[in-house]
Amino acid sequence: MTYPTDIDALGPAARYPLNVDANDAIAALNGTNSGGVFTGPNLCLDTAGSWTTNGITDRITLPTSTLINNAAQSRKAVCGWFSTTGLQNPPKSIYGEGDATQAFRFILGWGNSLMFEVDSDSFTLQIFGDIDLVANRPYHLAMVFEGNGFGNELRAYLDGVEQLSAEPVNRQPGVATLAARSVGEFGDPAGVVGVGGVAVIILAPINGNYAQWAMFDGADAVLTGAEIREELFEKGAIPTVTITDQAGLDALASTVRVNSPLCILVNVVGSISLTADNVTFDPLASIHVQYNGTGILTWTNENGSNASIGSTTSTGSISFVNPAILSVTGLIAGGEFRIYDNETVNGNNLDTELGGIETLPGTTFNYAHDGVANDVVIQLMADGFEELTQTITLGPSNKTVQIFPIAESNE
Amino acid sequence: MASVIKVETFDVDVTATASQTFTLANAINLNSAFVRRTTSIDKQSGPTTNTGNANPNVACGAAFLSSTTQISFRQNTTTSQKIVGEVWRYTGAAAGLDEFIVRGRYTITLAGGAATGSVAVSGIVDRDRCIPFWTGATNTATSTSDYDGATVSVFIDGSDNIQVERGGTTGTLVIYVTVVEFTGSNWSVGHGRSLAHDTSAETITLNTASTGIGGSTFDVGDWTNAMFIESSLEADTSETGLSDNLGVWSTGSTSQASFTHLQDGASRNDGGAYCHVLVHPGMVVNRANNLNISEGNGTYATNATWPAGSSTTEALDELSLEWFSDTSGTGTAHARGRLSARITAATGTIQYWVHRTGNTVRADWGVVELANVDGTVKLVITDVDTDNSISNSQLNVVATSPGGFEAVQGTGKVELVQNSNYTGTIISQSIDSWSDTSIQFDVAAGALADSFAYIFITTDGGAVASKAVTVGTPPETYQQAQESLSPAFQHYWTFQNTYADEVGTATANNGSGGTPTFSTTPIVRGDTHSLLINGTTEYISAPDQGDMNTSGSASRRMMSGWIMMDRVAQALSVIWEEGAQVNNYAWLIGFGNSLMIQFADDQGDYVQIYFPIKLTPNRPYHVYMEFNALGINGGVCRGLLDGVPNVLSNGNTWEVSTFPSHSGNISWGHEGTENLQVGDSRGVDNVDIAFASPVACHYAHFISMQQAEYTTTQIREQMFEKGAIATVTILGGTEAAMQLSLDAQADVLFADAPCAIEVGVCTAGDFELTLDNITFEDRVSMQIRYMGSDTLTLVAATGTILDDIKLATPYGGTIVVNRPATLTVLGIVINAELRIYDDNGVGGSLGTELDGVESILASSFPYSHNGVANDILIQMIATGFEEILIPFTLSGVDQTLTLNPTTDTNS
Repeated sequence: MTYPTDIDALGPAARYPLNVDANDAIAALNGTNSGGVFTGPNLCLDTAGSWTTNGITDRITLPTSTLINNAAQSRKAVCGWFSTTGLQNPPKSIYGEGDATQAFRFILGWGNSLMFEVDSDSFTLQIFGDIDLVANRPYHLAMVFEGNGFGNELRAYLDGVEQLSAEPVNRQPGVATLAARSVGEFGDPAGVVGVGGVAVIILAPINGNYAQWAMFDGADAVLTGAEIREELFEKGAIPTVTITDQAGLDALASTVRVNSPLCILVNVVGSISLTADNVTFDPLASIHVQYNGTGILTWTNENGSNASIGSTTSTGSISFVNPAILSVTGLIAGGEFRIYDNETVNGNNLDTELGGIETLPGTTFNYAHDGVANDVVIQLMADGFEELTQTITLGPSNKTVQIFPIAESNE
Repeated sequence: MASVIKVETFDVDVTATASQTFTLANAINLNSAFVRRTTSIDKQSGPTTNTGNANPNVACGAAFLSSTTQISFRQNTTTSQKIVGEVWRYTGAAAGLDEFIVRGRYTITLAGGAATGSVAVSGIVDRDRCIPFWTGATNTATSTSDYDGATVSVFIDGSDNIQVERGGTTGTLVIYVTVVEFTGSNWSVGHGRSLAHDTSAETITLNTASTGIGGSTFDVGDWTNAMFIESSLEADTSETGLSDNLGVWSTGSTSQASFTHLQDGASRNDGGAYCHVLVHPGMVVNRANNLNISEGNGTYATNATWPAGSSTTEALDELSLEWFSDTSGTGTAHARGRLSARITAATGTIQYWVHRTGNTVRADWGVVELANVDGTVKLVITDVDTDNSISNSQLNVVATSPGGFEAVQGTGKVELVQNSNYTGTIISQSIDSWSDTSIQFDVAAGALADSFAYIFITTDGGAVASKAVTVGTPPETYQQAQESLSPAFQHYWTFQNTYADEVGTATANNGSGGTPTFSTTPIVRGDTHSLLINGTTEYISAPDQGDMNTSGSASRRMMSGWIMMDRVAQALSVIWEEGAQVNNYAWLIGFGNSLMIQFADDQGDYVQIYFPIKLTPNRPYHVYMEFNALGINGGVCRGLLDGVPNVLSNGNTWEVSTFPSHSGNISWGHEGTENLQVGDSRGVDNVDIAFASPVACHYAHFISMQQAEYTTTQIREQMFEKGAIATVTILGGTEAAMQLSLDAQADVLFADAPCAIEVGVCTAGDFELTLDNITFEDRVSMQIRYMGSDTLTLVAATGTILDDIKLATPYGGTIVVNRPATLTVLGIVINAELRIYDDNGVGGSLGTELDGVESILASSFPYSHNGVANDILIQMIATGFEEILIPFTLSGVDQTLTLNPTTDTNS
């Protein structure tokens, strides 16, 4: 399946790929482009190019439709991909329907702060993005409205993560429907619009890029959080890099993966184990590792790697392993050294042997483990020294333990 | 010691054109004495025989020293005219520390039709230390409409020439100038020039160059040691009215002065104004003014008030007068407003005279005490304990100086004194060490504990200097803390049930027709009120200000204040704005209480400043805005929230050298008649927005200053930390009582607030408090504020998490944090001997024994320590078991160690 078909499987009333024209791919509710150009970068999978607002008056005007704007709607959802090339100085409308009093709108301003707003006669609901949008980084935006006959709430999502900061806090419209609105517009609204109950002029982003925007109505609009995250976001995210084997991952050793929707795609059908060597991720990256296979991806974070946010687009699964090393120093060369799992409760038993060596070649022994918290017992036996055992608690961090063997005085 | 500067005043009705003289009471040396006029800036006064309109030819007159005993006068007619002034004479040794030398007395003639003239001065060593005293002029003009040709600016150019310039050119003007070089090293001389005061007052930066516009910035250090000793003003090119050609210089920050001629808003002056500032560490200047001073009418008026703080016991000949007068009115009823003044009694009498009454006359004056200009080395104390704040019994306080303490203490001493004039309680301090540049001493505050006082340092040679200091925890209000900021700001609105500008003249008012109110919800520590804007159309506004919105030459500007949103403002709203439409400074809020500051110059540049959080409702914040033009602080504009600099902006840095005049709308809330442009007009990305006023926003303690800024430390410690309201206050008292009070907060997670816990002053001085599982939300700006000046040790026990950068001591105290932890040793053999040793920095060694037990009765042993990382050794000796010796590294978290005793098979 392609990303557009994944979207269509959720039943949108209209879908605008926006990569070559303003046409609707579902119901021929074709939009009209005014000023924008279809030369923008790829924002999501299976969609070559995007529509760009390169002037503050650029817009795509959608036809009036009861499925989008021209009817009171008890349920409504709009979502799509957006990026901008810089910080927006004046407030900008990403997408909006309505005028100064009724609105369903995505707005950007004050350092690329994101705001989702829905207004009607009896309410003004605003949801605020948890982060400010970074330039030249595609984001997936989604907003779902449900009247009080259904969920009685407004929900907003950024890269499939629900945004909960809102005014009013309960995000409840308290009425059955969102009243009919003037036509939908990507970019510059044709007239004044309402923001927080005050009529203002806002503009098209400079430069805003758009792709795969979809309109949902009725029961189809009640998108779940999982659908928005997994179907609409994860399946559309373009990976920064795609790997197919360990060599591909080794090439990323000691790199910081930049802020992006998806950092690394593991494109392997079956199960695979991969070990990352000091591969770390920007805190604002939405997906660290995505696996599109059907088996198990065992991802081992070695040497400071910190992958933790996984995504699967097929039937496979991901297991993140965070190994660590116990370094025992101060050993006696030529001695015997053992590490046992302390499987009993008294902390004084030599149970399952986890590692060790019959004859130490030097004074240090490194034991690599999976980073899971566990009590182990180390044992050193060396000629001329008393036997030494000591309990050590392992954890996700590397640990060094120095021991001081005591010479056997009874010999 | 007596002053080496003596002052003799004169008040002469001159009735001859060239022959009249005045005999000095004390003979002078012509190279060591000069005349300075103590009248209005144009050195004119008017006839004594009538009160009618006076033409320039009977209002202009000159005075100069013509012999060792005489002042000579010049004027154009025989009409009696009053000429008032002072003669300064230097009586000290040649090449003395307080010496000045007259470099020459000159006349420059501007014939009819000429606007400028110059004359070369010979003998100058350092022109920047020279002051050209304009002692008057003769004038042939006979029309009251020709005053534009009677008033001149005077300065020394970069080639040692006196330059003069007038606005009009009617009449022959003979200008008398005496050039004096202040050669003694105790003197400092600064100069200022104002060119942009036509429609608004201008605040200028003082400079070292004689032209007022070059060299480096001149900082007076303290205006109480500095006087405007001379000034001049070029008349307007066409306006000839009263207010057009008079003006007043006033003090600004320590490196600034302000000039205005706008006692009448309709007046205009497009000329240059100059001031010359003389600084001496031993000179004391106290100032006063009266914006509507009463006048006589061809007579002396009621005496001017003696400035607060001025001595009434010094010798009359060791007092001088700094004097300016100005008037409203743009008509030609000259010579109104030209008050001629002098000090006539050292007990506090300032006498002044005017030719003609009328209009609203302003006078600004200062009494200059010269008693301590005595030829000795004058010290400058740079600081005391780096922040001029000491505790009541602080040890090892260091006072520093650029030099002058002398290498050896000898009879030198350090004293804590109640008053700046060395009166009241005086307490000797114990000196640890003494050098030419620093003195270390131990504080004994005695009766001056918890007060504001002065450190006086006297050197072996008798030089004396003083520095104001905060001792202990004085009962300082937040307003006092702000008003003690240096440099001094120009406007201050506390909004404590008043719109008043506490410092300047920009008192605000409710111009919206709405109902802004003063809420009884304070947002700053110690306050009782806050201004509340609670409607989208409400606002208050202040009148246009030359040092705020109507200056066209500002290269620096700051505005700060406390705000608190009652809720999330849904509309795009203006918190505060200045200017309208295309040119403005504005604090804007929206997008979930995201705060944004914009600097908008339609033709020049555009910058936005962002903050990393959305403002929490019902939580006060301190906001600081700073504009820096090209060439100033890298041109980087900045904002600080709770004293923390912003991290993100757009369009920074500023690309032009000034910010344009942006008249109108100094308003809290949005003055709704005009939209506000957002975006860069030079590109294609801007729009006018009909902003609302915030619903709802509280305001308090707004401060405005132009051509200067505050440091990040000042903003954090003085502006934010001292004003933040604490969620919980641990009142001062005994250590036990304070601990009991803090124990009530055990297990509390403190919510988002400017300050979570305030700790008062302990009766014990240094003290220790333990926090039991007290934690703080990340957005708490200040976790602990200690109000004292001693050392508070905080023990962060049982899960308490303290962030060192959020522990504040704005009153000079110290906070030390101990983060205790416990090492629990398990698996111990009953009846064993257990010992814990510090390895004393040598791995495996049994160093200092830290803890232990001879015969333990339990299988575990808790060892509590202060949480500092340290290497130790744990030793267990038990019968039937081999000895165990395990090295271990302690840390700031709780740890466990399990022993695994091995049976001793050889026993």
